[in-house]
Amino acid sequence: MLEWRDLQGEKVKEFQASVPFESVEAVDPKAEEAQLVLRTRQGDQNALRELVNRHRVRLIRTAANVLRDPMEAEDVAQEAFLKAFRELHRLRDDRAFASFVYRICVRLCVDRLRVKRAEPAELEPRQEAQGGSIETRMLVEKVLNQLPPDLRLTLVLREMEQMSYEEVAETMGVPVGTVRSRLHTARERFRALWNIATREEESY
Amino acid sequence: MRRDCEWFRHLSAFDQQELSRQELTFLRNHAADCEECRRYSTDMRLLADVLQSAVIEHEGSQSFVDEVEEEVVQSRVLDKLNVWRPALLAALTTAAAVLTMLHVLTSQPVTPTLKPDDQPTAEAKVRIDLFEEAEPAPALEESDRG
Repeated sequence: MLEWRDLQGEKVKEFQASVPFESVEAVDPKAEEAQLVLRTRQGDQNALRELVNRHRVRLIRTAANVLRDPMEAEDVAQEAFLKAFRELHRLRDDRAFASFVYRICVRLCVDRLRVKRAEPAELEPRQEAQGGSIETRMLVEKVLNQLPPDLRLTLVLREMEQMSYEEVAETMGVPVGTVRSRLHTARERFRALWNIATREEESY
Repeated sequence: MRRDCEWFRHLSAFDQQELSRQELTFLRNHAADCEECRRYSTDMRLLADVLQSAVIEHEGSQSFVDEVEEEVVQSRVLDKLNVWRPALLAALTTAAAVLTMLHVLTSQPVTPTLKPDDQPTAEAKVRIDLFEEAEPAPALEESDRG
């Protein structure tokens, strides 16, 4: 005699048979991403394009906010994708491609910031108004330029990219406690530098 | 700076959700009492607003994907990705074949089977003669055994 449980089991089987395998897979974006990575490994250029298309906006936006230069941000994002594809064999979990390429991009940004700090500061202001006034944006840029790369990156990821402490920690490869203390220091320094910069602006 | 002010700034670095009810109460009470920390809090909120207002919303040029693809093709990244898998497969197959051969060779019987009418080899004959010529070992006496 069939029991209720058996009937339920039968119904589950019927349902599973009625749903095509592809549509079950498509529900999980990470599984879909893993498929794209696998196809890219096999040399599929369409899969590669799809991966780039999925992640380009986030990478370029973060790089632009860290570097304060949209054109340079595109260069860095491009370099990040190339490096990610070149080092695809290091990716243990194909589902984690997004964080893999994002971490590469952030590391490249920090490298550029370190080089920039060693070079004399660029004096020519970029006139691209978005969001706040040009003056505010220029002041922010000026103050951010005076922060060490690690503090600057922490501040941008948290305050501009609105990432959680855990996400910042994962991206930068440091413990959450370090993120918290860096953020505290970054805010203090930004505040002090901001006050000086605004006083200077007012005196002109 | 007073200890309370230091503690206030330390706690300000946390997300509100991460703080206990006691800590939140301390923040509220201290801000009500201390003008300097009140100003600090306002500055921190302003700082967050200033940084938010300076966010660059740049999505990249239309040709970005094409450019990345072109770079990938030029630097033959995909070819290299394609190469290492078959190479690894070939290496693993060769290793498996070598191991199988070694196993087969080492598992051959070392001692040959003897038949009743087999004659000993010349070397074996010499050994037998030497054995027979040798004096028998002296039997142990009771005193030798202690």
